[in-house]
Amino acid sequence: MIFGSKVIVKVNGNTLGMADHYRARWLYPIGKRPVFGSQMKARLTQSFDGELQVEGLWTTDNTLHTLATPVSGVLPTVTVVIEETDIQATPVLKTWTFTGQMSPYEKEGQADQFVIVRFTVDLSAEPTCT
Amino acid sequence: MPGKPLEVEAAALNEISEILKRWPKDCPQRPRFETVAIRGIQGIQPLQFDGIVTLTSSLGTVDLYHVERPRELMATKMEESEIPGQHKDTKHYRGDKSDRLELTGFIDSLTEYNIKSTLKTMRQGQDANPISVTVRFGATPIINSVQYWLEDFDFDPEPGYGVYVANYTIKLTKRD
Repeated sequence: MIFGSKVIVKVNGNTLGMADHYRARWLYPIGKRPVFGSQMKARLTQSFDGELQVEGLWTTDNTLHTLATPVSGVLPTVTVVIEETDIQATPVLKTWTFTGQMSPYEKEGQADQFVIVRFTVDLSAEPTCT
Repeated sequence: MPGKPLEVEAAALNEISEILKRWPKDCPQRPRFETVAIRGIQGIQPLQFDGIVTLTSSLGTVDLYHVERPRELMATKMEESEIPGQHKDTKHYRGDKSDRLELTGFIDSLTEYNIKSTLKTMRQGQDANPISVTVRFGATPIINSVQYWLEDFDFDPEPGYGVYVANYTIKLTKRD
């Protein structure tokens, strides 16, 4: 079992101090093509797609937005590592690595509330878990 | 529970296994024997696969498993008379042209991609070795072993798939 307080989010090696929530989703869509003489569609496995969304508190030393800016016209590749440690007597660490480009970047504030930062990484590879 | 005689079940299973044996082993759409056999034993359309088109001659056999459209074209030879002072076409029927058959569909395995060379071999020798075409809706043929001339065909690999997915168009003209 992994408890939320045992999860660390690192963006390009830098620990995100106030990460609050993350959600990753990836898939190989199934292309369904009808064929004649059958009511069952042929099912074809299509190309990979995925994204990682991270939400946290915005802090003054938080410079994530720079990663959502193109460099020489190209969005840089971002590596997000999520470390999860379980709560067994001898803790086991699992490291998830996500790579992709940050798009979109969101920042949200409200009177008398904390400022929230959200970013989505459009994945360029299947995440790995080691 | 009473069932069909054993011989009938065995014959049905044999028929199913013969069809499955020809199905490319690397094709992701290949039906599983258990599923098809159970349906066969229960008498639920045992041969209800995708519509299969078979092209065969003494030089080879090609089974097309994922045909999207077996399009038939029945053209005619119409003559046109031009009559001075008339704003219309006057036609004369001069006979039918040979029926055309245009098969469009896709393949999704390497084995299926290899039909390209078989089709070329069959096309090169079709003067002496006519090509017979059978188009089946499931088990029911709508064109049953009719001879056609194999003409132009193309393979158009489609992006975005990790396996050999390619669309094809195969043009045939009935051999009258």
